[in-house]
Amino acid sequence: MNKKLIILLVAVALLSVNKAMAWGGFAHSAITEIAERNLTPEAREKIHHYLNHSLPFYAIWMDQHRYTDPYRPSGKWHSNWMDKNGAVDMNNEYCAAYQTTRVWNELKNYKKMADKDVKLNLLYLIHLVADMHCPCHNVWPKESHPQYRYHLTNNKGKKESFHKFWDNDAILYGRKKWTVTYYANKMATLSEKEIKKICKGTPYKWAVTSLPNAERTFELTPKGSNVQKYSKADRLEMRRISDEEILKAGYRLAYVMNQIFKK
Amino acid sequence: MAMKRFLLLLVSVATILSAQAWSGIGNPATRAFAKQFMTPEARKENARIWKLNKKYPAEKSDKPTDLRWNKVTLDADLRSTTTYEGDVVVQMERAAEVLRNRKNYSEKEQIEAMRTVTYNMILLHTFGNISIEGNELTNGFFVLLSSGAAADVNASKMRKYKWQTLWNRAILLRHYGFTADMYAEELAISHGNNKDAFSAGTIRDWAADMGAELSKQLEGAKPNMVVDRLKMLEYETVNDRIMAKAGYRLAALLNDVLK
Repeated sequence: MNKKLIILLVAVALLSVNKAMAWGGFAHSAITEIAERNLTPEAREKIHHYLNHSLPFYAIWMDQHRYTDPYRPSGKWHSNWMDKNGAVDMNNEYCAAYQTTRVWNELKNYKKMADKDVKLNLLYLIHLVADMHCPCHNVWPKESHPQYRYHLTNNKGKKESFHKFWDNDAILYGRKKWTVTYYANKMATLSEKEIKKICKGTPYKWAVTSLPNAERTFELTPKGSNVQKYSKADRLEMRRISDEEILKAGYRLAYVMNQIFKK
Repeated sequence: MAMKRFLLLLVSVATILSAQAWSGIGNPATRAFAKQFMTPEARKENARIWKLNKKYPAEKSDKPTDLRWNKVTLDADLRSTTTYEGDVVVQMERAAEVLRNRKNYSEKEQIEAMRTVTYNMILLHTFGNISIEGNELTNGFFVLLSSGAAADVNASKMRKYKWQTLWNRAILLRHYGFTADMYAEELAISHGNNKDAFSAGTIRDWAADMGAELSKQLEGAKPNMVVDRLKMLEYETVNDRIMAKAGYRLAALLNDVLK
């Protein structure tokens, strides 16, 4: 190939890196945006006081600091872990549902806590409630289920991460130009009655009700399958699953925050 | 020879593309934030002048067409005393005068002045553009930024970032999926009570203030220093503050000249 053309292609690729990165974390931003819109005035005021920012600003803080001391221990809290019987393991301190419950309970006494501790726990909660709804953040014993770290493929035979596919691509199918605010405007339109129904229960129960969607991901995107050859019907089902979990996470995050900071 | 020329051209194009004030989101976010603090009168005039842009289709961007130099030069005491035509502050002062006396200027001159005031206000608040006499570090240097998720990765594996790129892009791009309006809301939450303190003074006072902000960040800074994720958190707080300053000051300047 022409030398100039190769250099030009490399340059274009390098200049496109930032643009491509901008879509990562879309779901986290969307979840926190939906939550922010559903906060009570009291909760919003308190959260802005402690964070000096909104919920979306810190949507991926926990990802960014998962290998940073002193936050390193939290790096293992991002998934729901199942016990040997396939049930959400609330005795496992790494389990996202367990940590959500623990942090929520701690924050019930926020008035007696130092501001920096309230802030840190809020940063955890913002991310944990989202992650525990991510369809590919559920880990079963390897004897019973595929592990979430496997790979898919594409037309060029290159590996595509199953995890990355469900974190990003599944949501954005047919929505290349959607922004986070547009997503929230378009999707977060449930009635009060529907929201109340979604928010009923505990983090444990929420995790349990999300398991059918999580198990469906293994059927829809089996190991080694070609991401460019999924049928339109399957792509729409993947998107529906993602949307369903994003909405539940967004409304539930607002609910948890509203409960903590109610008058 | 032909290859050399081609490479030179490529480097020039790459430099132009990366020589924005703040990354894609920073400039519109600052403008959106500023709009909230403009008087109805200034907002109306601001909209009128931007609408004139349609008559000059080749000039759609907010970047001034005659921007040849993007530096803010300060003396060792952090004062802006220059009269050099290319200096960001001098350009802003001239453009502000054009807007103040806009009835005497053509539509094209008005739109150009509006662009200069708006864009240069952001340049004025971007660390990478400020040059302090006698401070070698303000001429640009590299830092090591931890890539991926690891904060304690071996220094040899870290990405090398220009100081300018760190402030113009890396910090802002930490918030994936953010729109300019969302960022403007963040500035309102974090600095909603600082309007009077931040917007007081003249363009040259603001330049001096930015010199002080930059000097503080350069204390202890050195080439190839490691910017880990905890340091990034500190920098992010500073970046929020200087973006808020830019927004408040843009509103104050436009409120003044568009009376």
